[in-house]
Amino acid sequence: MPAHLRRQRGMAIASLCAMTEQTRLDPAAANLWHPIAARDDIRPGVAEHSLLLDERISYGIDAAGTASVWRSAGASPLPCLERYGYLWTSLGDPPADIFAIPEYAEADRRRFNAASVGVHVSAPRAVENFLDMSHFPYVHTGILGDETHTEVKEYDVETSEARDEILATRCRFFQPRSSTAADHGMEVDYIYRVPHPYCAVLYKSSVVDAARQDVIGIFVQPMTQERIRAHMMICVLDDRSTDATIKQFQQVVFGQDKPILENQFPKRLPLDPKAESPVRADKVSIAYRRWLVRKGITYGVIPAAAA
Amino acid sequence: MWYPIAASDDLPFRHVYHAKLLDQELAVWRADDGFVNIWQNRCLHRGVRLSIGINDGQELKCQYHGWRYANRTAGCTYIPAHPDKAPARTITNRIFPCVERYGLIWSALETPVGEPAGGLALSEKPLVLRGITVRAPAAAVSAALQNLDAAATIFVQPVDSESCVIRGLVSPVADTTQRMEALRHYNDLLAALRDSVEQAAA
Repeated sequence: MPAHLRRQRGMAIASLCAMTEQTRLDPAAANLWHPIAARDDIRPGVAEHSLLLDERISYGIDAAGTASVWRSAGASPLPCLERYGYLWTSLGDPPADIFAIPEYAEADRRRFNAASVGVHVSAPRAVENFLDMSHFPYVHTGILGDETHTEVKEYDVETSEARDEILATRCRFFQPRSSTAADHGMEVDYIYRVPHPYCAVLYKSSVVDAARQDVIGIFVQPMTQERIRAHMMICVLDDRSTDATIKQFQQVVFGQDKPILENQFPKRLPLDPKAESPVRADKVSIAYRRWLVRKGITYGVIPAAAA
Repeated sequence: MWYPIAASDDLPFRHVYHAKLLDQELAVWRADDGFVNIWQNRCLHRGVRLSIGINDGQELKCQYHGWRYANRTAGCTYIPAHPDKAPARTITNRIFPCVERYGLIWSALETPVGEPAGGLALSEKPLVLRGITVRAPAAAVSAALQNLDAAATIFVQPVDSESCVIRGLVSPVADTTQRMEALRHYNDLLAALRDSVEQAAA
């Protein structure tokens, strides 16, 4: 066997040994529910394999339509939950349910997984990118922003202890083409929610119904500390576009974020407030980093003390 | 000690070159006034590599949020999310020493004493060989170069603990055919050396 392959295999074995160690080191992350696949992407009767918190996991749907998840090594069963079109599992002791998205139950919405995309970055970096408006003019030029409208106006951020989530409200941004249903530029209102250390949900003005909002979620599956799959949940009002058009729109947008994320260093999110240089527009990112510190999340971050 | 980290030819008009020296990633760019900037390869805001940024001739603009950094000082001049507010003076990127000489860009992690190439008597406009990356530590490559029978002056750029770049200079050759022959000759010689060093290190 060539040396570089031997080295790779050695590394794979080393990381297998480190994985249970990792979940012991971060019980806060191990005890969460984590998304692992869109149900629609699973072929019935076929065992699929993936990685969660450095641990090899397998999952499948049987002939009766029942989903299950298990550890690939030893085949011991893992908890399994189906929410918002995805299979969720946990390596520890998860809560009874995951965060609520009441809008998902509304029958007139288009609901599906836009894509599950592998990205070479940590989960918190991907979440932070999803919460960020100031990159729209530069990364999503002509779609979610343009270089003549770069200002991030004052918005509000609240970290709710009772609901255990971060809420950013009164977010406004000019968007040339805010969704597949939009045919002109407009100032779009956003609300961002972070109800889970590795998941975020946004609510943005619907072009179709002024009283309602499109809902888009990013559910991040931390495969390793620095590799993820980002699952993108669509829950929007659009009676004109095909599924393929809506999916393509999201894939174009995320395809613009991916190379930025993969060129971010360090790949893990630094929690030391002095490690990077936030400005007022980054209020929600500052709140998110503080929240991760309070929760004791260490997976995918550089803890403040060690930074 | 000065190390070559790029060839002058690696910096065409308004390009940003991605280099690495002793494990430190560098964004290298020439402004329109000719000044070569060597900076830490990270935007101070959210850590995106500046080597994927845009060189507009006067400033380097980060791809993520459009933050701009000035030629020479590396100070942040503009934060588009807050267009009416001047960036804090403290937002200044880390600069590394730079000298352009013998057709190469030279740098170091700390300010070095003396001259690049240790004051060797070299032609100021030599023929610059193409940089050859070797997947082996710089020390192993330097050792192998001791036995090389060649009229070239050769430097080794330590990239990280596992790799380095061989950068060679030879006397200028006016005739195009002879120049091509010389380049081919050294390319074969150094590529063979690379292969043997990599095999020994594997």
